[in-house]
Amino acid sequence: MFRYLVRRFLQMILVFVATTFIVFALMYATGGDPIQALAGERPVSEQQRAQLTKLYGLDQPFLVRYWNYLTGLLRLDFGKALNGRDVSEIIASALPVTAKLALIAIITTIVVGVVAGIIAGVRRGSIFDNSTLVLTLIVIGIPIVTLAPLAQYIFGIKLGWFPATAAGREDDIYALLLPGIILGALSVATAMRLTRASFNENLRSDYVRTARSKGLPGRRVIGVHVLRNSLIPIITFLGIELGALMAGAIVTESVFNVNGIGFNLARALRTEDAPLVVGLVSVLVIIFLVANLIVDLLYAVLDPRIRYE
Amino acid sequence: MSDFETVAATEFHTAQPGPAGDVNAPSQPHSMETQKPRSAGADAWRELRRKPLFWIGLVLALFALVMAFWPSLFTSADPQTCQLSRRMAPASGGAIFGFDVQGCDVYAKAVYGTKNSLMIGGLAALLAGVVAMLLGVTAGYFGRWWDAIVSRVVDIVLGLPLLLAGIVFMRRVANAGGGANARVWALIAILGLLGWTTAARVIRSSVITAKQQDYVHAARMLGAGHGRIMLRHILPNALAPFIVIITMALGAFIAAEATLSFLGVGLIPPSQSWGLSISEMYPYMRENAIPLAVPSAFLALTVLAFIILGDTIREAFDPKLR
Repeated sequence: MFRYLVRRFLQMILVFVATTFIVFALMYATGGDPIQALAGERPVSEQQRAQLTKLYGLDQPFLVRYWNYLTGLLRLDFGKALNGRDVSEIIASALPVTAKLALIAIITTIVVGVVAGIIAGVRRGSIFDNSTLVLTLIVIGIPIVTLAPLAQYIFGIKLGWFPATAAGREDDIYALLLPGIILGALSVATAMRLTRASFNENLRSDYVRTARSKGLPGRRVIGVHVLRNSLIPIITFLGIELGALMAGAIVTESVFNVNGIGFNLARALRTEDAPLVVGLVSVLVIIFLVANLIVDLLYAVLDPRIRYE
Repeated sequence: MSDFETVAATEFHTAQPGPAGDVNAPSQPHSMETQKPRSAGADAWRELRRKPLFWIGLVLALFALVMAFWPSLFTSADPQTCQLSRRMAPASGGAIFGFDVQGCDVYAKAVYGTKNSLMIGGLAALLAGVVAMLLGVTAGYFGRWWDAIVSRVVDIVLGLPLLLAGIVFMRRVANAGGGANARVWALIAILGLLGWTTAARVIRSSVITAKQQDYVHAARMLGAGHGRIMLRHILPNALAPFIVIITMALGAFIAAEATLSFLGVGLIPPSQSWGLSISEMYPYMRENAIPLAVPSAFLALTVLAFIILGDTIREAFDPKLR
């Protein structure tokens, strides 16, 4: 187990360094003038330019700057955004909002997707099974750029059930509900299909027959024996999906004006705020990698046959 | 479709001699053909033929394809001639969905947007498929250090979610100052080079399973070279999942193009694209939702077509699901 952990950790570091390096290189090699971007329309005097170059460390070679950034990360220092705010401060205010959004999305996925998948898996071939299969296919097929404005128009503007935007009310769970559900809608379909397939397979296995022949009630066979074994692929999916959710939040948060990581990232890209973009992307990559690691470790808990050497 | 069927029918030899071939054989009168056992490919095709969902997907996809190549069959209007005097005007004559904010024909714009979406999705899927095939097959077949390198590269590319990486890369292209056409090619390259990882993993694992089979050892014993073994004996086994993933990736890439254009880092005018139309019309949604709804519907139906195709083909090839 320990050796496995060390190996996984080293792999994680490699992936993290490589991905942040790619983003860092792309954002700082854009060819634009960051000092001018900082000043906006106003002219920059030679003296100011020299001072700002020194302040942001732009006079140093590229690799040195990347190294400084990496070591800064270890002290949770993400650098300064172009508007002078600490990137870590922006992250600290935006991350809880996106986390809430992701939480609503994951709960939606589990409640709707997994439960529907269990019902469809147990009653295979029923009307419920067939209609949900077609329905989920349609949901998978609709891209989020279509789904988000559509939901905003129908539920936010026409019906008025939910606030159309969440701007300035990020503490209000009710305002986050619609964007959260939309964010989760895409993974609902996949979660449902995965649960259904997994249940189907396990229902036919020997241990289920054994449990039934021992006289266990069907509720216990399905709720304990089958469910526990069917959870493994679903948990993998949810772990990987968490990373995708964070990235998908860029569209959802932009449409619903939710002041989270995705919204800030979209704005930072528009304003060419390289330090902010690199910082936000680093956070997203870290979340993605840690989620994957936790998923791998959960395997061993859920399936005693898996032992890490 | 017939292409795939013949390829699959000839190449899927000995792969799965499972019982499915004989059990439901005499359901249709085929006189001579019923005598010999069917291959996995032919079996899948029989399964597919009976599915209405498959035909819906196929018809939608072909429809989109025809629209991409010959948009003038569907509309005689020019999407580029816009008159501000017709701003948000209701439907009239050929413009069955009315006019948008700039007074452009909503329907004509959506029809002409098909080409870019399908071209970007199709070529990006092709590029991703080639990269996945090359890296997946060689990594699975040769193993050792090459496999280790490919696997780490897969990890790194997977570490950057497609959308996130697409935004950062496209921003770089936008700053380099390319024209509208350069953006199209940049999108194809970026989506293709970021989207190959899942397919490569699937191919790699099926190659690893296949290379330990007796018939591969037999082929090697008979003196077949690496190239021949990979192409003739191992690759056919990985073909079915590969086709499924690439079909679904095509849908996903079309959606990704629309998303990137929506966020302002994808295509730029004068390119025509559904994502671009959605991005332009979204702010005016409250005033008139139709110019937003039409490209959205085109986009959703096309993505849906490819997802349905991929999904039904996958089910047809998976004997467990029957």
